[in-house]
Amino acid sequence: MGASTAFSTTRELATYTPLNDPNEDNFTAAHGISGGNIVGQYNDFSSIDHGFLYNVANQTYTTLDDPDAVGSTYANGISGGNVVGSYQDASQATHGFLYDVANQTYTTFDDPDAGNASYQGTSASGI
Amino acid sequence: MDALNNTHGFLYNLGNQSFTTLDDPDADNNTSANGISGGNIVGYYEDSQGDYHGFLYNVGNQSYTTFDAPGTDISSNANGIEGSSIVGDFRDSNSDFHGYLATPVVSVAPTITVQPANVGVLVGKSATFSVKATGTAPLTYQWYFKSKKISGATKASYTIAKVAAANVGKYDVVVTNTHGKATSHTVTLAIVTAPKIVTQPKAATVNAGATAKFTVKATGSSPLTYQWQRNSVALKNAGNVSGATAATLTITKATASNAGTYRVIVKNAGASATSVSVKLTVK
Repeated sequence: MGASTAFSTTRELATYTPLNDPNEDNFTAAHGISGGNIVGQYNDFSSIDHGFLYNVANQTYTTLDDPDAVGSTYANGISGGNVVGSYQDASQATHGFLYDVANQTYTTFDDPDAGNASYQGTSASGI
Repeated sequence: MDALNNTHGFLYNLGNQSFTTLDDPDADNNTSANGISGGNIVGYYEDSQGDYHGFLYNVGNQSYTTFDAPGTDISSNANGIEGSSIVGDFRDSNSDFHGYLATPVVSVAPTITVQPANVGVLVGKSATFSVKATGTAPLTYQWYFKSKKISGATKASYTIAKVAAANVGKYDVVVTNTHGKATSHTVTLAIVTAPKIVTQPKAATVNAGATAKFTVKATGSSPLTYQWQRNSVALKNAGNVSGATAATLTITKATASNAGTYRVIVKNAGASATSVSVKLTVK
């Protein structure tokens, strides 16, 4: 009987914490988690979607609306202090954005090959 | 999305530039992979009823675990993962959508952290094999001799009280819990012959500045180790002393401070033998 490196991990989901943005109208979805922060989207009473940033330790929600957004903003991914997502402008075109949590600044990203860009996901090493 | 408009998840390996399709075995049509952390992927799949479920995929084991948030009526999605925390959303019986944060209890199959070691022992002496393992409790142990289960050998250590020739051979241990098992390296029990000093060191008298040597010759099972002592204190290879752990001890340019009583201890895996004590006189 030789050496074996057999290893497996299973997870029993023990504790669920519901996430409902206080400004939602029956729709909140969480899309990403990193370093104690969760990002996602909620739908308000005007049927507009907003991104949110939830701090697990403080149990606080921060709405993320790209300043260039006319329609909805979606926060799709987070890595460290950076959030990525998408927003709709006045012409309904979709753009990607990068949000710097520390500086509270938004940077628009549009793929040069895209008419409408929507970025999903980010990483600490770059997008 | 394939030619039939079915969605499949995929895992892309940057190093190999290879794609692996991820389809939950309970999925009817669609599987989507949404997040990855370490060796785990989360996503969702659609079953034959059109309901959505979250899944956790372990890359190493290629295993899928379905999980639906409590209160889920029709759909539950897992969208992101970091370490042992998973985020997603679910739809309740009022068709309202909620986000969730799940903090799973991580249950881990055994992993051997300290492997058993080969044992050499004299006939009639005791021999002990030990292993250390981690994993979700309870862990159970089963020792094997020549690939056959040893009755009653079900602890982290296994001891043979009086070793005989019939005990010589290969041993290993399997550690098990409800999540898997781990098999140790195979180790050997050998019967060794105790060291025996056949040529004792001899007393020496040297002039100051001359070289003094003490030599011992011993038999016994290899490997034999040597440790010379001066006045019952272990010597190190330093200054004008060399061979402190060899069969021959050499003292170059001897001084009065080297004078004293010398002896050597010879060891192997089973026992040790101590030489006679002899004097070094420096004139």
